[in-house]
Amino acid sequence: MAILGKSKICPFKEDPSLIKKINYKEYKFLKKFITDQGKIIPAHVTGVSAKYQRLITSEIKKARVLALLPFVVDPRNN
Amino acid sequence: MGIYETTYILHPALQEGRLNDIVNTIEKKAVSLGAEILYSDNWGRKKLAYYIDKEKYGTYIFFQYKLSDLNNLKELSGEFEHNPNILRYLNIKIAEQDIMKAKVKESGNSEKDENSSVEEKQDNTDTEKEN
Repeated sequence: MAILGKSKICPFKEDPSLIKKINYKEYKFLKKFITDQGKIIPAHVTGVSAKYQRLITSEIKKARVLALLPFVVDPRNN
Repeated sequence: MGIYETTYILHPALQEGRLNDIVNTIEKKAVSLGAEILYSDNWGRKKLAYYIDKEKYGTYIFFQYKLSDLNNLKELSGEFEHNPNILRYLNIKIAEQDIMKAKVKESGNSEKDENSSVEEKQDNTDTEKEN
């Protein structure tokens, strides 16, 4: 989905209140860190620091198991 | 000894009465295995991100509990595994500060549940604005 700006400043260091939202239950927030195809966006694109990228990755994977987020989206089906 | 949370997806064809029966039997099973239920919630009917057992929708049930024996968690997982009404489940170990504190909602009527769902929606819109 939408990539958080072009700045390379980690959004979680700018606003520490967002850290609480890195949770599989907040799957709507995690959608910002996956592409339209359902892939996890690399940290060097979003500017997220390594510490929080590790958290995001594991939480996205939990959300995928519960079908809250997709594993893959075939763009031809939309 | 640890605190765990489990989310499971129930079959969309279940009527409300039948659904509550299943939720109650699962909670009873958990309690009989020595679990102390700290929080439980119904997230409602949601569209699944992909098909599970050819189903497009599912009802999400979430609960947090304290368990003393890890073998009991395995037994509880077996219950989820063999129940044909449960499409998918996920057990996660959590820290003490992650326990949710809205016990009022749990014992409330259906009206209160509606209110809580409205609150959740408002929360979501707030978060969208922030970002």
